[in-house]
Amino acid sequence: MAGEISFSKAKVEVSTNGTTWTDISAAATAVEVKGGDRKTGEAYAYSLDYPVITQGKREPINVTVKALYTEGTSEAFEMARTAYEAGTSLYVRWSPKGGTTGNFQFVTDPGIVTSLVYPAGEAEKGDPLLCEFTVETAKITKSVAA
Amino acid sequence: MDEYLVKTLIWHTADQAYYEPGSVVRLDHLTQDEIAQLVRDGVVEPQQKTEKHVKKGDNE
Repeated sequence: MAGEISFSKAKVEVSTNGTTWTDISAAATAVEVKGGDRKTGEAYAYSLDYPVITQGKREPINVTVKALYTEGTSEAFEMARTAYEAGTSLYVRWSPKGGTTGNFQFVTDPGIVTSLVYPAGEAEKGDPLLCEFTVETAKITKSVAA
Repeated sequence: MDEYLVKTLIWHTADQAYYEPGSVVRLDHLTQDEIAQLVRDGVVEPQQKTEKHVKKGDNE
């Protein structure tokens, strides 16, 4: 095998319009993708020992981004907070290999920020403060950086 | 300037825009090696250059 990669050098971006992108790689610490399962149906006929399976639609996808909490207006938390509170769209895009020429990029359709973790913590700890937001979107599309 | 036929959705880093398959783009911002790799990967395809046929004699 060749070409194995880790996610450690990924590029993560967010956008409010799908055209102008803000690179949040310096703050993002994790990207998690859940959902998107395709619904199926099944039925059993008398003469068959196995089900007849039919294809349905795909379910929504939830993309969760964890990031260092910062307070710049063009940084992860503020962009997510603004979209969450206003109910406006937020797009997420990431490239596992870093987004240089020829690398795959995965981009969400316009999404809804369904949850936002506001800054909170304990006095005792000195860990960097993190934030987290989840975008629910209809689908993710692969593209190639060129 | 060479033009390329887009075979799969691309994010054009110079134009800051997505191009759908079937679009024709220029890749002047990339090196020849980078373009060659994109061609090998099937991302873009060089456009066939069509020669202009000039009919001579009509205006002579």
